[in-house]
Amino acid sequence: MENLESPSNVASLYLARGEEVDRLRPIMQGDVFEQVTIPGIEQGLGLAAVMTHPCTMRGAGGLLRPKLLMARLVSYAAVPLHRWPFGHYRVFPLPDLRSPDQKESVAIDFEEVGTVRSANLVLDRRVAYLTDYGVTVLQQRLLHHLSRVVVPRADIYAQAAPNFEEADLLHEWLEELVRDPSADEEVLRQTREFDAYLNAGGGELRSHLQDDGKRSTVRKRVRIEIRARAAQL
Amino acid sequence: MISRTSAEPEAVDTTSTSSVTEVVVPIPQTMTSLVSQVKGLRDRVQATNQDVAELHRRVNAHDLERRTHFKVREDTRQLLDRLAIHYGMSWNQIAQLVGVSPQAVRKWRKGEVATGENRLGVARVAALLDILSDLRIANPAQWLEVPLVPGYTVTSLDIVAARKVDLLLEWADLRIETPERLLDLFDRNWREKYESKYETFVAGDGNLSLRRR
Repeated sequence: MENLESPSNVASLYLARGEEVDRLRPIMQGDVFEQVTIPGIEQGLGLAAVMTHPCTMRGAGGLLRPKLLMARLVSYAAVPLHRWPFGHYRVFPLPDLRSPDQKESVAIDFEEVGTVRSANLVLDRRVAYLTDYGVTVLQQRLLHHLSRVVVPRADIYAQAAPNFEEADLLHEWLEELVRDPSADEEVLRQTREFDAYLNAGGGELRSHLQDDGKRSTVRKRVRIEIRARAAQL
Repeated sequence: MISRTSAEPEAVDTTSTSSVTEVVVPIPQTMTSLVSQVKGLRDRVQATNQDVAELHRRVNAHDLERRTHFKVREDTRQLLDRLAIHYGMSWNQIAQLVGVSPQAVRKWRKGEVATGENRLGVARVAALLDILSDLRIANPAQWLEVPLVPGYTVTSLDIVAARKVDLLLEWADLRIETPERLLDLFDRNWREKYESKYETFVAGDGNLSLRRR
């Protein structure tokens, strides 16, 4: 019988938190920002997490859509990892959000949601982002909250894998080709360049990302392209 | 050489008791002896085969360790570059196989020095990919990440991550007949553990979606 996921350890959820956060990392579902106002939620500024699915959060040029669905983070008593499958269905716990040493007990509240202008998300106010594993655990709990259906996490991963790969490759592209990470215009320009590269030739590379038998070839080609462009800088 | 004449029954003994006639075909001594000899020979071949298979596994493991100790002399960043650019592995896959977080691999790429144990781990992954290439697997990274059996999510990466490299090398060297047999040897409960109840399909907007199989 299928159950909701029970993570084996907290670290498996986070790709980066606190000082590890890199502003060049593309925004992804589950990213947590501070000082965010969610219209319709009477809490003023606070912590909020991106809820929009990775498939639908970007539009033309690989840029974020004008509005993203976000959910408020609330203080929430720590939930032991082995208890995750058996309750607390309304939330996605985010234990030790900023650091393993700073015992901050919060959770994404699936019922405190609203749309936020993506222009209002300040990269320097991002406090954590999740691993691919963490995002799929979040998706599984969100799906269950909305539908009471438990979809196996591995199946969720199979659907989202092209988005994870694309985010990882865009991150590499930006790390190697953006000279000033604080220059938002340069980051946007390189994001568009990356998107155009994936879409070139009828979008062959982008469609190959959807095929687990061809992803390694896409990684190779993108990395070779990054090398070639970096050599010209 | 088996003599056809000697293998044939020499006579048919017909014994009659009241209304029932029982036919007894005597088995010649030469045939009985031959069966016994061939059975013994087969047992010896089977035992030898098992010994040789075990020896092969030990030699494979030794080869991997020998290559690893050559590789570990190279700079970790160079090894990571080779895995990423020559083989096309993802950083997450490398992290999974070394047994560290993706963030740790990112730090090594940026120049942070890995511990001796982790340098060996990266070298071992690089050595494994080289061995798979030598076994005529054209694209080892792809070969590792594709599900082994349709309808199940388990991949060769899972087998390596579970530290069962010897099994994977047997599979790569075509010593195991079917992926199902490989998975039986890997984990008896693989059908329950890795069954995929949903399949992906390209939806109208060009993105993947899920539907029940």
